[in-house]
Amino acid sequence: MRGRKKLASLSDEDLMALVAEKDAAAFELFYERHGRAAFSLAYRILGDRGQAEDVTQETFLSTWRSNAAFDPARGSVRTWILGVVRNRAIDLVRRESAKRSPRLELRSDEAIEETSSAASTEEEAMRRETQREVRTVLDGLPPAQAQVVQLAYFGGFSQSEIANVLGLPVGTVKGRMRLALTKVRSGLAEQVS
Amino acid sequence: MNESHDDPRWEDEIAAYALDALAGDERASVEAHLAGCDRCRRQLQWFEPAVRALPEAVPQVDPPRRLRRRLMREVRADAAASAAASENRRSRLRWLPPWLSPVAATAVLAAVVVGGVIGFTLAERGPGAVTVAGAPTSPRAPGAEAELVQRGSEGTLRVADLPSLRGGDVYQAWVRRGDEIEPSTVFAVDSAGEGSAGISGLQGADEVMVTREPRGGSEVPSTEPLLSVDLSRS
Repeated sequence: MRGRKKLASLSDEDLMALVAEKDAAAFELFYERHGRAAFSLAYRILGDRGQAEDVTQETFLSTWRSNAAFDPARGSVRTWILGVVRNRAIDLVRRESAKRSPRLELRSDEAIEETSSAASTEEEAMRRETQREVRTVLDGLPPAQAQVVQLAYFGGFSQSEIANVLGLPVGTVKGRMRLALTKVRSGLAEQVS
Repeated sequence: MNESHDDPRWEDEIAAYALDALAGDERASVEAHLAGCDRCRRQLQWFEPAVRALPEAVPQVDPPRRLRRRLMREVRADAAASAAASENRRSRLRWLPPWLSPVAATAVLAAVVVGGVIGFTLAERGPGAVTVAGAPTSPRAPGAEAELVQRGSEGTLRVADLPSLRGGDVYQAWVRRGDEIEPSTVFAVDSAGEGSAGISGLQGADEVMVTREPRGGSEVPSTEPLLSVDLSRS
């Protein structure tokens, strides 16, 4: 509707200031900008669309009902909301798994059928480009390093748990994590340059 | 006292910490070290963009549309109830008709607010619901939009592009049956001119109208309607 165009030009931080004042239109735009990424992350971690939906809804509703304004010291709004989604999803995985069977294979991303965003804004185009860059860097990781990163970040496993499941010394797992993060970080810097 | 950074294990620990892959005691140990080691803090900051990039690499999947609908239903119910409750709290005595005791007035106001909230949960699109579009009726709100989702005697009125409110004014819905006009829910709009209100008592109604009223609402419309939803042909 015509009135929403006024909000579209606001930064995420300014939008969150309106959300803190209980502006429903601002909240809807906040969801439009980050809901897809949040749901996708929850689905990647949980592997279940219904649970991903619940976690995404809980995350956004708790943001709406919180009386605290967004604190820029937390980083970007997107980083913050995706971090909250990850934590909630990991908590759910831990609660529901008395005995976890981590997915050791790397098929998880391939099993997810990606959908094209309906949005065609310049911002969405930039996001897709960023996603392509990140995937290029991650695809360049040796499988052994990619595996420990995926188990840690998307599985919520500690390095000790990963070592136990993979039958590796903890020191080996630590080393792979460091090498993987170093490669990803360096790769991102190269993409930007 | 923190261990020296010359201990090479810290580089591995920082990476695991950045990935949130440390158990409680290990995490506490790293945090204690970070408090006194600039080099490790810089290493952590260097790793952070890599960790932030991980969720962006996930295949993007559209969430179901019902998720957005559920969210906005809750959000708009919260926003409208909060706006109506605060307006009614501020001017409760001023709105009191002379023939109504304070206790009865409180019950009426509570019914208006609660009825508004209940209206949101009942009158949603779906089997048995009728959606009727409204139209602007005043040059003071030429682009305003409205729709009423009616289910039986309850309805949810959604409006957009209404002018911002100032000076404590509110919007008020009215239900007309023939020549009789009854006051209904008081509501506010957000910065985009959007708002919603639960409307009860729609059985046999010919029209739902929206006017701008002073704080707390009015017993009779004090201005010409800004919006009208014609129910006589639905």
